[in-house]
Amino acid sequence: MSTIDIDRLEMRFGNFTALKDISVSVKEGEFVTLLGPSGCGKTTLLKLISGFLKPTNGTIKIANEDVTLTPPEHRDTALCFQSYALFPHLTIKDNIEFGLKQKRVNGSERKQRLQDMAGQLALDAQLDKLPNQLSGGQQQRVALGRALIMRPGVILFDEPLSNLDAKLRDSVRVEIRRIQQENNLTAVYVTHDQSEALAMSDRVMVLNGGVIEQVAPPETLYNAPSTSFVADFIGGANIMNAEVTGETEPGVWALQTPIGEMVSKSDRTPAAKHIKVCWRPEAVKLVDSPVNSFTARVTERQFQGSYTDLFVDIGGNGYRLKTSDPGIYPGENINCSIEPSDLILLEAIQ
Amino acid sequence: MTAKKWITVLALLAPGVGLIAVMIGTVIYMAVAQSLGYYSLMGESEFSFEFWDKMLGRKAYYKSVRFSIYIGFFSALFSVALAYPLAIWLRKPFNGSLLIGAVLKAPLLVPGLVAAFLFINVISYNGILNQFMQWIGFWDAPHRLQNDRNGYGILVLQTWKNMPFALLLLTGAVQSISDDVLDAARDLGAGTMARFRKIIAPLTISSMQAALVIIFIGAVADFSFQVIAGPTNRQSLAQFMVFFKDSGRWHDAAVVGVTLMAVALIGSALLAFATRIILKGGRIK
Repeated sequence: MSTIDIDRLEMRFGNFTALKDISVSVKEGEFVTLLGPSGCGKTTLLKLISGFLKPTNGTIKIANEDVTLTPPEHRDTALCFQSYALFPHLTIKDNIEFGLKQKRVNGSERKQRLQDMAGQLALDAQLDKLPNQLSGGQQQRVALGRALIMRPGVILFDEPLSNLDAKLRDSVRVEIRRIQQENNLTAVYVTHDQSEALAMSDRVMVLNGGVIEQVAPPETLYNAPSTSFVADFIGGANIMNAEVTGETEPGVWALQTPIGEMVSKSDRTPAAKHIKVCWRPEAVKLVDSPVNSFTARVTERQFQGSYTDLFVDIGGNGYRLKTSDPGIYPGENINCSIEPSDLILLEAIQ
Repeated sequence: MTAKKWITVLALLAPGVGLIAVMIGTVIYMAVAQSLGYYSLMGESEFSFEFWDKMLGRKAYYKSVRFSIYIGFFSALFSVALAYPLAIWLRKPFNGSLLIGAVLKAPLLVPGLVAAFLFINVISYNGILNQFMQWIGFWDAPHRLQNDRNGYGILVLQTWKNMPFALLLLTGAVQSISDDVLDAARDLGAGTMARFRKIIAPLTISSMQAALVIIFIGAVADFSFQVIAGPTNRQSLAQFMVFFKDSGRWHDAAVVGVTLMAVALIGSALLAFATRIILKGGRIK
C-alpha cells in the first residue's frame, strides 16, 4: 500500500506549460480522480506519476520514496490504458502473467495469482484466447487484471471506460471500484466524465489549464465549488456576478445580484467585494419566500422524464431550473426562491 | 464452391499467377532436366545421374555449398540485426530523421558491382583504410585485407547493401506497434531488451521473416561481390555454376544451379521457421 505526495510539480513542453505548481497528496487506499476538459493536463499528470514523463520541476514521492526520476519499469505502479494496450500476439493468460514473469515470480505463485485474478474478473474461460477474440468489456477486464495481478502500491487509470458503451461503462465502473476497495489500492483515475468522477471517487481533483482548481470529495465539489469553472464543469450551474453589500449576521452575506438583492449563508468569507456566485438548477424552489425570491418567465421547457428542465428569463438574463413539476410551459411567470445556503460564493471577479 | 466459380477464379488468377508459374516452372524444369542429362547442347540427351554422381564426389562442390550458406545466413542475420535498432530509433519522427532515413537507404541506389569496386579501393593494400590505420598508429605496415579467406569483405558488402532493404521492411512494421503497447510492457517491468524480445520482435515477425528470406536468397546466390571481393580459395555456388558454364559443361552447371535453388528454398524455409520458433515459442498462429 502506498501514498502519493506531489510537490510543486511543473511540466513544460517547449514554451507550453502543461502543468503548473501542482501539489497534492493521495492517502493510502484512496481513490482520487483527475477531472478536467481535454488538454487540461490530467493525462500528463498521470504520465508523470507513472514515470513515462519526467517533470520540469517538482517532486513525486510514492510510499515516501522520491521516484521523480525513476523509470516506469522500476516504479511500484501499474497503469490501465485507455486503449487497454493488450499484447495482441499473447494469449490472455500470457498477457495477465506478463508482469509477473518480468519480476521473475516463481511458477507456482504465478499460477495461484492467475487463478485468483481470473476468478475475480470472471476470465477463467478466456485464458487461452487472444485479445482480439474478446469483447471490449472483457478486454478491459484483462487490462485491469494485468495491472492488478502485480499487486502494485498505486494503480493508475487513464480513461479506461471511454471505449465502452454506456451500459457496460456503468458495470465496469462498479467493478473497478469494488476491486480497488477490496484490495485497498491507492488509485488515481483520469476521466473527463464528471458523472464517472462523482460516482467513483473518494476525492476529485479538478484541473483547468494545467492548474488545480479544487480538490475535494464529490459532495463538497458539487455543493460547494470554489470557482466558477468547477461549478460549471461539475453539473449545471447558474453563475452570476454579485456585489457583497454586507454581513447581516455571522456567515450570512447580503448580495446585490442581477436578479435582485440576495442573501448567502456560507462558511466562506467573500474573496472580494465583487465576486461570482452560483446556484444549482435543482436548488430552486417554485414557491415564494421572504428571502432570495424572484419571478421568472419560462422561455423553453425540456421534459426529461424524472424532471423537467426549464429555461427562464430573469431581468433579461437567461437561467436554467430543474423541477419535478411537468406542468409548467413557456410563457408562464413563476415565483421562485433559493435557500441562502444554496447560493454559493465563488472567486473574485478579475 | 461450384466448378463454375473455380473456373472463374482460376481464369482471373491466370494472367498474373499463371505467368509467374510458367516462367518459374520452365526454369526449374530446364535446370532439373539438364542436370539429369536432358537438353544437352554438346552431345546426346539421355536420362543419367552421372552429373550428380560426379558433382557429389567433388570437395569443391561441398565447400561451395557451405560457403554460400555461410554468406547467405550471416548476411541476412547482420542486415536484420543492424536494421532493427535503426528502425526502432527512427520509429518516431524527430529533427533530421527524414534525412537520416534517406541516407541509410542510399545503398539501395548503388549498383552492387560499383559498391564492390569502391570497397576494394578502400581496403586495398594502399587504400584509404590501410593509410588511415597507419596514420593513427594502429598498424605499423599495411595489411592485406582484399579477398580475405573468410569472406568477411563479402559479409560487409552484403550487409551494407541489404541493411537498407531490411530497414525499409522493418520501419513500417515497428511503426505500426502502438505506443501504448510498448508503454504497457515497460509499465509491467520490461526493460529495453525484454521489450524488444517479447513485444517488438514477435509483432514484427512477418517483416523480419520477409527480410531474412529475401536477403538470404539474394546473398546465397551472390556472384558480383564474390567475384570482386570474395576469397580466392573457394567459390560461391553462383561462381561455381558460371565456371562450369564457361567451360561448356552445361549439365554440371545445371547440377549446381539445382543445388542453388534447393539451398535457397530449404534455407529460407528453415530460416523463417526457426525465427518463428525462437520468437513465438513454437506457436505458429
